[in-house]
Amino acid sequence: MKRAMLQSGYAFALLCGLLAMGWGVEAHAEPNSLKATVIDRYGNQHQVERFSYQGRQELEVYIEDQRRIIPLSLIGRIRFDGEHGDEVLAVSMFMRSGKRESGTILSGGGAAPHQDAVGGGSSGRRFTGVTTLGPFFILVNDVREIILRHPEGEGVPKEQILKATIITLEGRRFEVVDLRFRGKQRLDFFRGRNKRFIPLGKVEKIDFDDSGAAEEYRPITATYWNGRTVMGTVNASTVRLSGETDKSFYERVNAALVGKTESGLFTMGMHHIKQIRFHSVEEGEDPTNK
Amino acid sequence: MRTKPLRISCMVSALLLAVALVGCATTGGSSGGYGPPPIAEGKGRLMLEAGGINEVNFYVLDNETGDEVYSETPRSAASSPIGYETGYGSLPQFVDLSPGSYLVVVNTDIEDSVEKEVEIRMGQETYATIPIGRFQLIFFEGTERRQVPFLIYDYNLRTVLGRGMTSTEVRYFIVPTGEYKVRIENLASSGRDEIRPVQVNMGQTQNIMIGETSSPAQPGDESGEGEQP
Repeated sequence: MKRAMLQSGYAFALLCGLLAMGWGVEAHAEPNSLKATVIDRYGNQHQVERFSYQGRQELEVYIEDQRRIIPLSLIGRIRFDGEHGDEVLAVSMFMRSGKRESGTILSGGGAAPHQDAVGGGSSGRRFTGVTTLGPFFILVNDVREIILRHPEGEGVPKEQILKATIITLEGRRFEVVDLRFRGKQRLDFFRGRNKRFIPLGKVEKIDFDDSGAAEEYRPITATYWNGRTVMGTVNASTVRLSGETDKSFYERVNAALVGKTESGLFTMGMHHIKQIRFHSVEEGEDPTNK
Repeated sequence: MRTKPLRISCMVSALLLAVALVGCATTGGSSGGYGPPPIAEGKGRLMLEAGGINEVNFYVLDNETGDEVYSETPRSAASSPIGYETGYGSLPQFVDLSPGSYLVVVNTDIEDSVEKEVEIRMGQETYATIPIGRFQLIFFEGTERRQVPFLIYDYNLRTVLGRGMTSTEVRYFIVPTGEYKVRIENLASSGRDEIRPVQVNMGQTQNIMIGETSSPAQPGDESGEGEQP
């Protein structure tokens, strides 16, 4: 009896040590629990786990000729149209919110690895993940449809449609919906030489300093809905850079902010703005419903 | 009677072994100055796994409060003329944080940053994989390398994503994995206007040479030197 107790004592002490060791050295990677059913052009289905687009959890697409980065967490289903080998494919995205977006995606076409790529360059854009058979990848060109399966119990992320009043330095006012800064719902700014961002959905207003109107960087003060204030500078350069095309120069300078007004598309450069006042908007509200 | 001291010594030995195991676990082999130091008490460790790039500008936001809890900016801007690689750290970047949920934002040399949500647990290391890669652009004028500005475009050449400055030293530009194009318009000086595709994969490097002169003579080339009479 005593012997048994003694042995159990040793075992307990060793177990404590092993558990402590396990607790001490355990390391884990961030979870990527996104699963997907990938249907290729021949109709084959692949059940993929840890699904990603070139290692990223976002998709680079062009919607209405504007580059947009869309998180995969917002998307329910993606359908690719066009011929195999096309460098640009038409893509339809059925968002989890019920909205549908159409645009184009670059597939890479039949590009070969670049001769200067060191370390085994790969060609073409691809989706990657893991199947029961091992690592999985498929070129965008070979995909017909992707049905994303998000983690169970995860709430459907709602897309915010930002509404704002934009007041220019000349005092003109514009009522804008679906406001975006360079395709994103956030404003990049600099605090010293550190780049930071302001999520536009959390901001009540952004004031642009008058004194910097003619300078490359304009000071701003953003006031959040919770009363917090952030100060910094934004790039408002109107200087044409060497190598810039007419279109890219125009877009960079005059279409930093893009949205929709009742009369159509709205664009404005950072050097024109005096103040942006955001309206509290119901999440997921359709801007076309007036 | 003799067995009692024996039992006690065995128990003590087992406990010492347990303590030793805990010691090994928490130091992680970092004693002696190699590897990262032990995790600070009551904290967890966030380690950036960026495909061998051990020097990036990043900051960490607390998901609950939105406050910035940590920031590191070891690299200068891509367009800075004084920017050059001072040498990469031998260890991945890491930071010890209180347990909780955080957003890691890695700034690259273009507009797009890379973000990862991480959960930090006490005493544990959490690896955040950052899908970024790097490329080097080397511009020659004659036989010498020059500093010239260039633009980083998206692959469709529609949007300027960033600016850079080539260097006479080793200098890499860090961007999220993907395909881009770089353009150097240097008509005034060298008369060159070059657009080159850039393919950036995680853990890989692409070197782009523009205006490269012929490579130096290799052994076996008919250079005239070292010929036998």
